[in-house]
Amino acid sequence: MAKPITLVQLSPTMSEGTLVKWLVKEGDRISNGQAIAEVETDKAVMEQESFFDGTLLKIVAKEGSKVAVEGTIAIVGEPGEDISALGGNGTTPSATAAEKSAPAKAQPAPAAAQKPASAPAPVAKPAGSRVPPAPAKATTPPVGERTLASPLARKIAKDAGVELRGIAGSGPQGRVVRKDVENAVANGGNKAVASPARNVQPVAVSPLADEEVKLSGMRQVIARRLLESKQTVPHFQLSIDVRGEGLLTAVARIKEAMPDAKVTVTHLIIKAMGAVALRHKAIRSQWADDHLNVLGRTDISVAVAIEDGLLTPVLRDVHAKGVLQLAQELRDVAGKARARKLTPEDMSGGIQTLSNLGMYGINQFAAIINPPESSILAVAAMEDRPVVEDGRIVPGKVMTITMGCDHRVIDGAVAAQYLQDLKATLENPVMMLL
Amino acid sequence: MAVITFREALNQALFEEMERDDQVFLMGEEVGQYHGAYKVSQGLLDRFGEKRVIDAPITENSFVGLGIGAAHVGMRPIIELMTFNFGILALDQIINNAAKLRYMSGGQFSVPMVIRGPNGAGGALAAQHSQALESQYVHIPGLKVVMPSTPGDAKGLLKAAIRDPDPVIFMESEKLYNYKEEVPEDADYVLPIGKADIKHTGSDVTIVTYGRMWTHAVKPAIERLEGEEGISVEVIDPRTLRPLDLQTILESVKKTNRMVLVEESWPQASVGAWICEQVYAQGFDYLDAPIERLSHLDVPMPYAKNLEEEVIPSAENVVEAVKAVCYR
Repeated sequence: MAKPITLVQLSPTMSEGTLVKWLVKEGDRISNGQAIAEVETDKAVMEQESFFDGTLLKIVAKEGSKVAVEGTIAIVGEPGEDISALGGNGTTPSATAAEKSAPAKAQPAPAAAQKPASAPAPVAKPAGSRVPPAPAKATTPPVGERTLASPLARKIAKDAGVELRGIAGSGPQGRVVRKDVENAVANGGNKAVASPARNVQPVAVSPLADEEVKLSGMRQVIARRLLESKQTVPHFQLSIDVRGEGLLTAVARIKEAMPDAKVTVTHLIIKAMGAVALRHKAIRSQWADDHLNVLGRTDISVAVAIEDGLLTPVLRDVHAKGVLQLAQELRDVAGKARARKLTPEDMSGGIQTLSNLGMYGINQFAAIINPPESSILAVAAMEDRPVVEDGRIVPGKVMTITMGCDHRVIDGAVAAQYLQDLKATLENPVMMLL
Repeated sequence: MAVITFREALNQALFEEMERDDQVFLMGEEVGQYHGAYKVSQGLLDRFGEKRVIDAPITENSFVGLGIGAAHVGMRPIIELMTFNFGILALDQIINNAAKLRYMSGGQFSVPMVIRGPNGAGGALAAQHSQALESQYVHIPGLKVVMPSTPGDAKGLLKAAIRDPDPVIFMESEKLYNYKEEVPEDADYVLPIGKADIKHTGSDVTIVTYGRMWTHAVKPAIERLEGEEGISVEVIDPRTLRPLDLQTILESVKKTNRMVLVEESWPQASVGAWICEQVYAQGFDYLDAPIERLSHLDVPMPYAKNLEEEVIPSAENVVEAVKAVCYR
């Protein structure tokens, strides 16, 4: 019997995915566990596997389309099966003879009605219904373009003046049901308000055109997480100036000793963060409503800018690794990030994030915390600045580090002590060995 | 209230109505000397004599026609079919005469008769003797069709059927004859024809069922659904399939927004199909999920007991269907 392949929730925060690419085509034999499509999720592009052996009868989700978790992306079965009840259109191609399709149409109803367990997404079962579901009207748009909703959900949405499109459905094939609309109404969302007419007349011919840019799943997740962070985490920022001569000397010494070593100041900062975090419990703590989770590790998230987004792969057990190893690992994860091959696991579990905009000449900035972490370090450019030493103004290498903190977890004085310790370590890199 | 079998409840109804009205008589194969193939007419011959308890030859079309003629002239015949499988032979009399005479005579004649007997599977009786034929009768304007699910309903509805001015097809179940339940002892316990009964009250899903499926499949599923699955179930038993009390079904669906129909018959053009269609048409805006319908598998009833069980909806099927309409 034909079965739907539904989109798997590939991370705890994933509610929908974009079908990036099909790895198989209709008519192909596929087997349980075989990767059949690439799906863009929270932050990564991941492979979706088939749960069944059989022939791919129909691709339901086209490349580039968005699918809710548990939504049908394809139908698998045996050639000739009637898949209309699963949202496919009628009988699959190789059923030629009328006597082959006729009993096939008659049979599914009682069989499916008797054994509903074998049909996870039952649609329009009753055998006696007067109108066959699939070819009802030529003008009916195919499943996938139409918003699937129960009659009750449609009525509630209409009465409440809420737009159905955009409400994530929890029913089979993403069908919107009563509770989905009620939740949307409760959240005040999706009002069907007519957009105000634009009366602005262009005064000059512009080389630019207005356009609507479709957002990737990653872009939407980033937006959601940033908003969540800014809305729910009480941020405060502390800045400290760090003298950079020690770091520059250390990098130079490493290169003298190992000319091929690709080590930069960034790698030394990561190493310092791991080393200093060992001594500061508050930095490793995370808010969990009625308690704190204190993490017994020194995993550091590193913000990596990629085309159209920002990812935060995590380097593990930083305090225990050498700078060369950290440098190599960072290159590896940055490569995976650009290839969109990071898994949700690659991006979770950090204690603190490093965001470095020094290479752009930015001299100070405040970053948004990456929940559930409790702090983020915004590292600005290493600049030549006049500094006062022993009462005299001298030229010095200085960079400003701004720490954004979750005040529920970290108090100002605690953060200040941490920054003092970090500054001392960065200015005297030998301290990292402690 | 006394706890009696479905068979005894029917017997009581026959006794009471024959005592009450001397125009009531019973005719059918083996109803007298043998006390009925299923002993529903136990003791009636001794009490009422052979003018009112008449053993008929094996000629269904003829003795049903004889009953229609008697009803014409004001008597109240009860025609027992040994099973409704044999009633197929009498369909001409039932459909062309019993169902039509009031209409075609412009109301000059009526046919106040009851045609009763077992319907549905009896347990390894094979394809010809295991048929559930209610849709044949429900299809015909001019007939009333009653299908009780409990001894109490059987008694109250048979008494109502005997008193009804029109032909009533009264469908029992061989499998229910020994089923016991409390039955009111009131001599005038008459239930209205055309009124559904709420067998169980709940809020999450409406199960519509009738006849044997209530005790065979639905009742045993309720404990699992409400206990293990946490799904609150409302059960509506129409009791009369024609005229149908759609109002009670719709009120329940408006409350629960989800419906499962369980019937002991084949799926195509069945009574359940009609009920589902009516709910779709009149309750469209109240449905939060497509209706699930459990019917027989679409095959002749197998003789083998294990295969027969596969064909008839089970409690397990009901649990799965209810979970499916609740998207669980």
